[in-house]
Amino acid sequence: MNSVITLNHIHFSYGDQPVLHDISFSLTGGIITGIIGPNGSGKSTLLKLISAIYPPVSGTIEVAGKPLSHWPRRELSQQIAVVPQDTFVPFNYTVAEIIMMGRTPYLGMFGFEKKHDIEIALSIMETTHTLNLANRYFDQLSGGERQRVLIARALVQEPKILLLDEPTTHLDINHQWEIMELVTRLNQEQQITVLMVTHDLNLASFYCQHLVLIAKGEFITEGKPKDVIQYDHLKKAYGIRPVITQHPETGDPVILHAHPSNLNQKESIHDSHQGE
Amino acid sequence: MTVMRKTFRNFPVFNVITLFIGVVILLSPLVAGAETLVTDEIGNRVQLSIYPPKRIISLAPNITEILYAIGAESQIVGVTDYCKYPPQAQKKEKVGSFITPNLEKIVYLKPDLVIISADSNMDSFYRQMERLHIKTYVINPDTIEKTLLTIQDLGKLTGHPKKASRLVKELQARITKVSKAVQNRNRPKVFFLWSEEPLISAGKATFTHDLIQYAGGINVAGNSSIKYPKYSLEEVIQANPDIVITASMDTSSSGLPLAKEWAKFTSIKAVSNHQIYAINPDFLARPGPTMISGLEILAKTIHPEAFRKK
Amino acid sequence: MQTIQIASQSSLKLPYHRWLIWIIVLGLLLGLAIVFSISIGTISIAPMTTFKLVCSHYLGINTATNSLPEESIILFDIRIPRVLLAVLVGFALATAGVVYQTLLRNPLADPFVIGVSSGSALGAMVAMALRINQTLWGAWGIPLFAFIGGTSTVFIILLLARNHGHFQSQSLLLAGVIVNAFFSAMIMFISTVIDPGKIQTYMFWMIGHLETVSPSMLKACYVYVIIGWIILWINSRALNALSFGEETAKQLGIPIDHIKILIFIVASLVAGAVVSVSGIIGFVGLIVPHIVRSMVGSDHRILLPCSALGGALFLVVADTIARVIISPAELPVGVITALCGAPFFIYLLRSRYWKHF
Repeated sequence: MNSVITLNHIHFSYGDQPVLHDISFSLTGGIITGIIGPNGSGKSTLLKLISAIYPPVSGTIEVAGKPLSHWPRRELSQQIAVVPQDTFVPFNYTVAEIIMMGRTPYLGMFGFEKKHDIEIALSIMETTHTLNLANRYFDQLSGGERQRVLIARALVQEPKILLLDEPTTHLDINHQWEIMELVTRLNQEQQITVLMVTHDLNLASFYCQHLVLIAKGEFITEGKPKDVIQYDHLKKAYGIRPVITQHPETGDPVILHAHPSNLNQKESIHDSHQGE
Repeated sequence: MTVMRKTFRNFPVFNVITLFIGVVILLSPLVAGAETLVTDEIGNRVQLSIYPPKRIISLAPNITEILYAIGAESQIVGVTDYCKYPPQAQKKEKVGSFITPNLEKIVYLKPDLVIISADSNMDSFYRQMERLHIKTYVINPDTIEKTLLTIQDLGKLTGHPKKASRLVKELQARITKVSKAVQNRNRPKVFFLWSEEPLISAGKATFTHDLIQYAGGINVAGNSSIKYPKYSLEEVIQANPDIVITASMDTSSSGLPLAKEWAKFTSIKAVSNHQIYAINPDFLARPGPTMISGLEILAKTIHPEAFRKK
Repeated sequence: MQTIQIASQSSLKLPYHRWLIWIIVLGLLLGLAIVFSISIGTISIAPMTTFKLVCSHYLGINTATNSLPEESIILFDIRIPRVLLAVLVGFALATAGVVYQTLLRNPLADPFVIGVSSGSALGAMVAMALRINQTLWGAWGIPLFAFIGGTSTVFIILLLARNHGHFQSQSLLLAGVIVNAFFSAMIMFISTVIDPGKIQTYMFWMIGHLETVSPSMLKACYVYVIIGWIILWINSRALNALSFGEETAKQLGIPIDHIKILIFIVASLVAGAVVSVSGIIGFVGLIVPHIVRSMVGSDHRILLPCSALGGALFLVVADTIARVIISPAELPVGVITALCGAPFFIYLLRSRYWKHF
């Protein structure tokens, strides 16, 4: 059940605007990988490239050993499912209808669901605790509830790989934890490979087994959280002087806020300051 | 029996006469009810199954008026809502307006012939009549000459050719009288208004234009190929008409409102010489007999000196 | 109103049975409306006579009627074609409305707003100004030009909204609005320049008319609209996915770029075909999809059939009113759809349903 995604020398621009430059890395199956980096680095764009929304300007992406261009969309959607940051739906769809749409890649020509489809949807709704939301209208849910529903829809696609785009932004801390616990459970119980874009470094550190750091469209580094979340890397990517400590329970790196030594000169960053 | 045979054999003339009478008797229904092919005024061929038609629907007020004038009243079974002349016409069955005629009513009246004017919403209506197998005759009287021709045509069409000819002669005489009275006189520039708000005049392709010409005037809008062109006040000032005649539906017969409004534009000759007149549009709106009365009124307005009793 | 329901903690009921009931109900209502509409008009025909005539004409049952031959003509050559046309136009406009609203993800989209109706009307007016009906093409010339106008509008909009080979929904809507404004201005321009005598004809186009179609045109349009509708309905799955945006649709496995263009063109041809025979009739494509959505939800598998039936029903009723309310004169049907549609729309705007937009 392990599926792997490989990016080789990916370049991408929106029109004339270059976004990603020579990105290469491999996604290991069965673990939670996080893509971190400042806003505008092209993290979300990476997800769009992997899910074949846009083709890269140059370079190749391989999914399960096959280049993306050889994947028919229908099959690709049975491998990879995307949970967007949020979704605006200007129509009166209910949660149940939205979740059932995750079965789209499996439905026949006329789109009529079979018993099997319903069973899958039902079990996933139980797993994601969205059963009680089924008859409610999507646009009337809270942020956390919406995320759960979108995750449920993605899971109904029975993907081997789950792509999450900023799943916890805009959520209260309790909902953040709730979502991440769910994702972790899915990864552990069902061996779903997870690739998550987030700008919350501590969250990434805590929940991901592998991190990829990207800044300004360039690959900086990748590795275990304790290898990536380091003073030099963060300074290079964000231009900050982080104070990094260890999580008392897991040992994962935790970034703490720190004042610059000279409050009135926020731009000046002294190399002499030691982070740890 | 033998006597008969002897008579026939001995009087061949008798044979011929009997034969001839027999044939005439036999053929007469055919002759009377024969399919008659006529051509209407825009060139369509119309095949009439009953001649002359006994159930006519008129779809324009001027058609109704002409039909009454040539004695075809008893043949009319339907008219439009706007057919008010002569007053008796209002008693006939109504079939809607000539722009939106009511198809069901028309079919229900079982017409032999529908007569329509080329001006109205003709194309789609014509197609519908074809589809319903109802014979339609189109007239196109856009000049005085053509109006007289229409009267003749309708006379022939409805079986009243003599009465139509008499009417045409009469009208022609009146027209000639007007022409004689105004010939060799200076032709003033006449600005004619069918509507005051907005200002709408009559271009060269209208019978109004023809009327003005015959009445001894020059139609200010006569260069326009648009049938009913809209004018702005500036254009009127620039055209500087000698006479302004308004036939707008919403004037009183004195034309006062317009005269008042334009009083300050003294550069217009018609204003400074107080030559703004109103004519009842009823006299000028229907190409038919009444229109000739309208012509006389127009001529008297434009050239009052030509008609003063000496 | 939800379609998929949780019947109990452990079962998801699919709405197919309920859908069938909706379709049957709407179908019956439409049938009733058709019967009613055929039975009334300027000339009163006794209901029994109508029934007997229809039976003998279509079912070949020989009924002894004392009917007048005019009654047959009125029924079969005037009323029935007109009612059938109303069914067709309502059916097509509502269908196009649903598709545009979904494709453009905008509740205000309908064939008129995005300019297809105006383009078709402009085509028709050009034909009339060129006096096409007096050339070889005869009566077929005008609807043909209208059809060309409508489809040209679609292509213009697609060209305007093109961006590196992609068509963004917002761009499509914007391009449609601009094109509509431009074509409406062109129509006004032509109206004021050409004879006032022809203005009435132009008015017919702008406000809609349900009379002047020949039986062969009617049959052709029916075939055309029904095939178009079937193509659209088959793509319900894609339409549902498209409601969430092109990206989501792609991620759900729909090859969106091709299907989106196909759907857009088919919907526009369906709408253009009926505008070419009936002029611009507003409100149907805008209102009916919303009313139906508020009743059955936005799943296109049920939304398309119900909107089509609902549109037909709406227009048959509106046309019946237009025909009899000031008999023997007639109101243009577009007036009735606007007068009925506007209060409906206001009601919808203030209801819970609108909070979804």
